[in-house]
Amino acid sequence: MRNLGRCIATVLASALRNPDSSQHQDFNIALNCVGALVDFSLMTQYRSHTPDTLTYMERYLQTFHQMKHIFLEFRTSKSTRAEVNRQDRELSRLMANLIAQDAHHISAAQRRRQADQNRLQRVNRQADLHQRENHFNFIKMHYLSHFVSHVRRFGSILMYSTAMGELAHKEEIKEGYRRSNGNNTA
Amino acid sequence: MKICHNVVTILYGVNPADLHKPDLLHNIYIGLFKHMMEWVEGFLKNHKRQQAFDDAWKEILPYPGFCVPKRAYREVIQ
Repeated sequence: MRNLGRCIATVLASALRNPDSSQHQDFNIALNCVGALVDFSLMTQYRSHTPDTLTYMERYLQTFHQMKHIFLEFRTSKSTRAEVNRQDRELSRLMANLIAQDAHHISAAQRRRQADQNRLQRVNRQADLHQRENHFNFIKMHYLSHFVSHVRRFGSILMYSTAMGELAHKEEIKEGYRRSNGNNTA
Repeated sequence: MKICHNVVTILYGVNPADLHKPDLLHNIYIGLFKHMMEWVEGFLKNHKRQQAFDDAWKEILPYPGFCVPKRAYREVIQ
């Protein structure tokens, strides 16, 4: 995943090249958003900081928060999706019932128009629900806002990373265990 | 076994479990980046750019300290 941080911005830029006139703005915002997050994550890896670099960090975070709305529609949680699907099913059943009731005294064309209208209504309703339920209020997102103050208080963030401890689980700890007789290990 | 010099191992009387740490590994690398990839994939799907993204992903050239991905992000299942 660290590799991902190194290449995602360029790969995305290359994937989004030659946009249409309608896509141009969206693509720019998305690229800036991803770029800001990557820049921020790169700055958190600095081993030493100056007030300038901290200001840069704050600015990147601010840019990210300004731009993130472009991704809001993809922030649907599982429970929201289930809820939306459930409501959609109910609505479609209700509409089918209504159409079936009126079936004998309206013409086929009218029925078709009614079905089209219903479909539009369902799509709108879904979009509405997504709009209302999607959000960026999760803890990892909030945590970024404390990084700068953390650097001021405790120093560079990199040295608190658990990556080193977890890396040890890949080889070093296992090596020791394999050579032991397995008694009283933990 | 290699001894890692980390602030947690140096300070006297400090229990690593008690410290409040912003954890880069879990917060950024496998937290936010993962979320971000979900959004980016949704975005690419909306704009039908997934193939272009995969192609670009596979064509990254190697440089020191960077491990080249062999498969596209979508094809990797964890």
